[in-house]
Amino acid sequence: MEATGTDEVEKIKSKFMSAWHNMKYSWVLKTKTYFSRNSPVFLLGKCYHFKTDESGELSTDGSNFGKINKEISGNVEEFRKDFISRIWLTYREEFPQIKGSALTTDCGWGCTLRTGQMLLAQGLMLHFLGRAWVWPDALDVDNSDSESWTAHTVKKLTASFEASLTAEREPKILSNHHRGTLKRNCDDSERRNEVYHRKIISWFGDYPLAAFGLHQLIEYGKKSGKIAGDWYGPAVVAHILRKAVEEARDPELQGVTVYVAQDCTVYSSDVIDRQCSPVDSGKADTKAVIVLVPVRLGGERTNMDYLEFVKGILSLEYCVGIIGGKPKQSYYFAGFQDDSLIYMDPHYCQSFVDVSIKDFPLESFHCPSPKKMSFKKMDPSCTIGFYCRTVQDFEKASEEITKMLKSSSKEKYPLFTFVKGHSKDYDFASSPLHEERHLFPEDEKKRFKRFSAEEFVLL
Amino acid sequence: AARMQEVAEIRMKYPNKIPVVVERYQNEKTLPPLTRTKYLVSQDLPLSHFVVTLRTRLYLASSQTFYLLVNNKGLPNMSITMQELYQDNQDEDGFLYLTYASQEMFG
Repeated sequence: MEATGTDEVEKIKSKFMSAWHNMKYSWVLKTKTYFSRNSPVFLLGKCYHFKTDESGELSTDGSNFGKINKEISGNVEEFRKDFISRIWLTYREEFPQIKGSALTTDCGWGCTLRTGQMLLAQGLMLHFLGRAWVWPDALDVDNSDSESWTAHTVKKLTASFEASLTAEREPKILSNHHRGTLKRNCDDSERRNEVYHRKIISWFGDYPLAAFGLHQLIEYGKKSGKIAGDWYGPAVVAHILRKAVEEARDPELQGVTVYVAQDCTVYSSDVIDRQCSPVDSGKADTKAVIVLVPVRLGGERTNMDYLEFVKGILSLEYCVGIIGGKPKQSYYFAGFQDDSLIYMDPHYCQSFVDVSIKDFPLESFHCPSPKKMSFKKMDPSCTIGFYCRTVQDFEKASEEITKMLKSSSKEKYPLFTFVKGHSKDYDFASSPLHEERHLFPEDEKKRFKRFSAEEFVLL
Repeated sequence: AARMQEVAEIRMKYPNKIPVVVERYQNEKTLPPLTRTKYLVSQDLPLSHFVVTLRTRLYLASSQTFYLLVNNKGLPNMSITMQELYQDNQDEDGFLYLTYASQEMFG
């Protein structure tokens, strides 16, 4: 009896909290984001320019970016389409209770898990749909006449987006209704893509059975000493994602694996071993890998010397973004303009959507409005991710990133390194090097003792 | 000044060893403090070995993050030796100061 009593209290408490969080976090959406028209915008390796409607014309401007030279893949409209097509995962409420707790929401604590999910979702989108794919309905999300989904959010969002981008907007000719008719005529590959699009989102559903849903991720996090309601860090989430992908049973997911770097070192042979590990179905195919590198871009504050490198990483098409944030709040960084990062914010409380229902609404899984913040404000803790479909892709990526690590950072040392071989080849924890004291000649040891033995540890 | 003298003496006695001070990042919340903060390290020891030693001393699991920062802002490359790190980053008092930190948590 007593137990259910406290349960009730917990439930009421969490209701209050979510109401509060909703208030607290919804303002974020009202703020406007301004983009400069004079410099290119990068989104996960694609370069956009808002100045012109003719793509390609301004490719010389790319050289302003130092080493990053990119073909321009579109104008503002195409950027919006691309941005909205990314999968956006936010706080949710009223989902099935999390095992071992009374929580039915992750408002106020789940943001790093959400940004991690967004990164994995981008990896899966690259894997199943490719970087060029965009959601055909992307621009409908932006339609202010649409009452079809949680209208109160859409209106605010649309308002802010339109305010910042109005100048470039084409008048809307097609109404929602027309688009609906057109949709029916879509060809097979589009239909196939739509199936994957929904499938990927459903893997992130907020119920216990979803392979990468919050409930599962929390289960895997327990091994790192985390429970529901805790705050998570980008490295912890990287390990949780690795575990979740390893444990995923869906046959479609057997072709993907995740590698997490340790101590800022990627051991190439370990990655390739993961890619070549036998697929359940017995096929000889190698797996695609998502490499995650948890790093720290400085001490108290982010070291500005890493800016060029972070930009470089975000201008690679196989980059799947960065799990990072500003102090206390996690963001999913997906692009940049000048010295500002473009991100998606999970701090917005939306209602639970049952993704097991056929044709569940997709709108709340796509963010209509990009956010921007200065690199300076970024918290140094983050996890960088990139996707490699084949072993060759991985080798190419490690070469390219190594070059970038060397050239783009003003810091003397690269942020992380690729090392040939396995980590166990470098395993010396058990070797005598570890504590070398006994290797010293006795008399020297004595001499040392007299001097300041209690002060120094000899290694 | 006292530290400088300390370093001078120890450098004379152990010309092949590098005096290192390892401190915990001031706002660190997850990593425990080190019981010993001063180390004399062989100059040809790779930094990665030194990190493993510190990890062992702190009883860290391999999935726990541990970053060593020089001058409180840069992450040094794991493959360089202590000697190289010392040459570029030693303090004027003769010690090499390193800070260790994990990652921040977000909500």
